[in-house]
Amino acid sequence: MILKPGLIAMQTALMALTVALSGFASATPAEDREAMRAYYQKRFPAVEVNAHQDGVYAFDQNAREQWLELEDFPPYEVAVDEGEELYNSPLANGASYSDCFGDGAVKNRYPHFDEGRGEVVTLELAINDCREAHGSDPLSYKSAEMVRLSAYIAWQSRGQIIAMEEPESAGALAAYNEGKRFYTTRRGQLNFACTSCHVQLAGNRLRAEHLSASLGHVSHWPAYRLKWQDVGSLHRRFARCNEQVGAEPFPRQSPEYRNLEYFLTYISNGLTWNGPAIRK
Amino acid sequence: MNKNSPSPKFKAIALLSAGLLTAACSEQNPAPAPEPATEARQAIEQAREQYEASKTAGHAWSKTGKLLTGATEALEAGKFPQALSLAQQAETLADASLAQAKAEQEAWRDRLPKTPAHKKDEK
Ligand code: HEC
Repeated sequence: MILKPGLIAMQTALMALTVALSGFASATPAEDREAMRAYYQKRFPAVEVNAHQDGVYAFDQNAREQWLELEDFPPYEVAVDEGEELYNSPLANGASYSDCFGDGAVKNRYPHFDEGRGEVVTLELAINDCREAHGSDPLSYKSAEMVRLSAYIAWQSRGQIIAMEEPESAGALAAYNEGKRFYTTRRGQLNFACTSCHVQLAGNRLRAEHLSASLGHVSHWPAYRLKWQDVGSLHRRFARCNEQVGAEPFPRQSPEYRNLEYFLTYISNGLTWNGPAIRK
Repeated sequence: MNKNSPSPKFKAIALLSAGLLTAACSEQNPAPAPEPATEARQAIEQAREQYEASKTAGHAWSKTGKLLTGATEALEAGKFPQALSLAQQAETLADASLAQAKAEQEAWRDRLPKTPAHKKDEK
């Protein structure tokens, strides 16, 4: 197996750390959330836990200054404007998105577990449901339209608090546990789990970048990434993180990624919906 | 021995001429697939099977797919030793990714931080 030098060092560090960490699969969602908050509080004593909603900018002072400068003329603004136009355009039967989402401030309704459907419904699924209910074809989850609509909705929802209902029914708990399992499972040729980088090594550097905490991983999407030169979705970012360890990514809005989003959203309860954001 | 049955000598001649005939024909018609092609094709099939299994397990590695594409292209281009080698590399990776899937079936459970209350429970 070929490891890049930086990653070999990290593997070694991980082995040492693994001994210090461990968790119960049977822990309740509330216990998981409490444990994650306590862990990051200890790991980043100078950072207020909810501040992780700004990703690495919560603790990387240099990056933070550059980021704040970019926020003077935010590059996601065009996407929000285009999203607003789409939002107000009529669907096939003359209705519009406002018939489904009012003024668009609905981030705090998603994701949720839909008992009738037996699956996690994300904002993106709800956007397509709305289209289909009004006679329009669903959008591709990779389309520019989908990401722009979600950028507008994120903008309208700014400031809402993440307050996902605790998963309690058998179905909701199963989805949550699948998400947790995905998050903690090692994948790819480099044999890394999400936890390897974003829990055990959080705050360390990987090549040019610091590794963010997972609290707040869901709060700010879609994000304008300088690397992408565009706004992109949370699931696009998930795919990127799978790819960089040599694992094949899953499709956007696949059950795997929706369950992962469901888990990550619950542990981020108490932080603020603060999208769209800018990231490197 | 039955009178109607051909004598052993005749049988030998018949077999020999059939053999000569086949050899003669194959000189005119395209050669049957040479051994290395079959070997490469089988190696690709076998690797693909393991790769599909790793996908089903949710543990496919990107490199495996790339090696398989390379192997198939080499086969089509008639580069059989290269195809074989790429297919074998693909299978090694596919096997390793399946081993990872198996190891992770339980290992994932220990990777989330836990609450102090939990730590006490365990003792
Ligand atoms: C090899 C290390 C590594 C692994 C493993 C990894 N990531 Fe990442 N991830 C990064 C790096 C580097 C970044 C960019 C810097 C940052 O924000 O942490 C990043 C960024 C992210 C972001 C964006 C953060 C933000 O503030 O915008 C999310 C979300 C994310 N990762 C989720 C995941 C998930 C989910 C997994 C598991 C499927 C995962 N990552 C696995 C290295 C990793």
